[in-house]
Amino acid sequence: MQPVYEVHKLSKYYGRIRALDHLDLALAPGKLVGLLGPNGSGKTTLIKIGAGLLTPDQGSVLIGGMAPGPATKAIVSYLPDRMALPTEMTTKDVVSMYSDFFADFDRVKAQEMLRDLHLSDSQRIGSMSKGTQEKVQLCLVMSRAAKLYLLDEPLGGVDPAAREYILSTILRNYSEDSAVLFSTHLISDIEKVLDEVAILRQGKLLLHDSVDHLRQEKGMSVDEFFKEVFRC
Amino acid sequence: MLTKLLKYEYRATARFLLPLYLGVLFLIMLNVIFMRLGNSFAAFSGTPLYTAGIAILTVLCVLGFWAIFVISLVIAVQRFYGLLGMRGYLMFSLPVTADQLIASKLICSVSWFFAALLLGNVFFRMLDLPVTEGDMIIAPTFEAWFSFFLLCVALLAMLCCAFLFFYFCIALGGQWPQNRLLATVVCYFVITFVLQILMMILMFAIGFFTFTFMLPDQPAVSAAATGFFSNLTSGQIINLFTLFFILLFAVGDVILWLLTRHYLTKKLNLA
Amino acid sequence: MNWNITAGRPVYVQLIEQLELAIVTGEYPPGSRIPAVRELAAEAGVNPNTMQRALQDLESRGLLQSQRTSGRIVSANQDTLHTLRVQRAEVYVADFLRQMHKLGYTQEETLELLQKATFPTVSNTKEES
Repeated sequence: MQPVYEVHKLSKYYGRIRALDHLDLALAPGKLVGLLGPNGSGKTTLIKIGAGLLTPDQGSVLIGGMAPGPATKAIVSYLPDRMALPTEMTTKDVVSMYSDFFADFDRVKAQEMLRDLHLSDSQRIGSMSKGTQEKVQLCLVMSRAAKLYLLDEPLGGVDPAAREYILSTILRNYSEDSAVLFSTHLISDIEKVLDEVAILRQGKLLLHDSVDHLRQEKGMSVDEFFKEVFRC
Repeated sequence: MLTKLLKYEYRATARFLLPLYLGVLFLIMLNVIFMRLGNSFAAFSGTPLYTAGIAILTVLCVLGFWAIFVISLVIAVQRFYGLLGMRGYLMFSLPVTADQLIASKLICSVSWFFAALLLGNVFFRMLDLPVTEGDMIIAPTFEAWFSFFLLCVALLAMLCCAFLFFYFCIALGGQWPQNRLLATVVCYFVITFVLQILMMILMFAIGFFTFTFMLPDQPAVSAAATGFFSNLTSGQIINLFTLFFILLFAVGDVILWLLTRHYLTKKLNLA
Repeated sequence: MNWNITAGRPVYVQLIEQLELAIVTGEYPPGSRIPAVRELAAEAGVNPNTMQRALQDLESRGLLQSQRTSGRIVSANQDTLHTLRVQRAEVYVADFLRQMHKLGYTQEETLELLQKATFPTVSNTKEES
């Protein structure tokens, strides 16, 4: 089966710093993959390249078999690690905007999710708290029927109740032909949710394995393994 | 997709610009009413209220125009600058090409500017200034309107060039995401300077070449050139020059567009 | 259904156990339909593929039956339920005895305790909860 997100010898440099160093990674459809690694290991860079916001310096990137461009953006749903919605718009406005530009956006689902999280339709995004803004962004991203979901730290700034809601939303959205790449620090929270983990270190791929296999081989949870590998 | 982008561009810019434009239009109307009143009622035109009123309104109108031009330009530049900032995270995630993004911003910016020029035109008409010898009047002939049309096209091409130049500087400045503002400003000044130097060299070279080598050595060429030009009417000469400028700006537009697009696609680096 | 997945043991093993429990205690009585994989996975907070594995294990043992378009139903008959019940009970008893032994109790002392203890009925389980 064709991988949804495939990078080959991918490199990205910022001056002397190698954010990504000849990275090889392939994500198969129907998999929930955790992207783990310490700060600065290249997680956000890898995700932004998949979203088409950064161009690689070396190597190839294929999403659904295509090079990054408008066609891949139509099948990729990207959740940035920061608030990126226009602050002058209201929730209703952004829902309309997403609906306008993305053919796979499910307006009804988005409105349901917003309701579940008690988010008002008519509130201006600029006047919302950070946590609320992130929830709105998440609802929009998860209401798309994309082939590749790129979630950059989706659980970071959100309270534990919302975190659970977010995880169960991701699980409910599961589809056999889409892949979810999920970068996070909160490994113990999400270990049960993941099929596979990809661990980055200084821009290189340390490990890409299924969670079960990793636990079996190392005899410890992914969280424990991570702590051991990246012990300070 | 382009129409959708345009919809959102206009919606966002109209929030600020429409009230401004309507405000200036209102000032113009006031001005016109005042003037017409003055023209119709001679008694009124002599009053200090009239003279003071006209003076104030005229100044306000002029200020209003300055405001429109400056603010339209600032907003246009700011919206494109924002494209490579936080706004870019959303805009570059949309399934649109860089061409469509550039086009939507350019069309919106140029159209607001053009609208300001039209407003200015209305203002001057309304001023009802007496016609003097030096003024150009558009005679109600086809040639005249055609020349006017060409001038408008040249103006549009020039506006596009101006805005695309800003866009290019912004796109180039985006190559230094950590110091984007500084990089953009530096690019602007450096490129302007370089272009000016190049222009001067080009002018010198053309002039030097033409007058030193071409004309004296080739009397036939110079004769043909002068002959060609003397056979044309003044209108046709104007059209010719206008066409030349259209071509010049069009080439500039294309080059700037391609360069801007290059930095928004092959070299995109959103911080 | 209350799921309690802990770290330290393979997730799918825990899922199988807890699904078995749900079937045995009648939370999903024989003949009833269980929710879709996605739904169960979201409820339990686990990966859908892992949940699928657990469900397939139960299917292969005859506890669940997959109906092509309409999900899965509990197909356990009384015999299988009984076996399951016994198995679970034996596990609990073994655990309990092991813990008592750790505390230092002998078999006789344990039996004595058990004789004195009150077996939960409907009324006093209600009180406790």
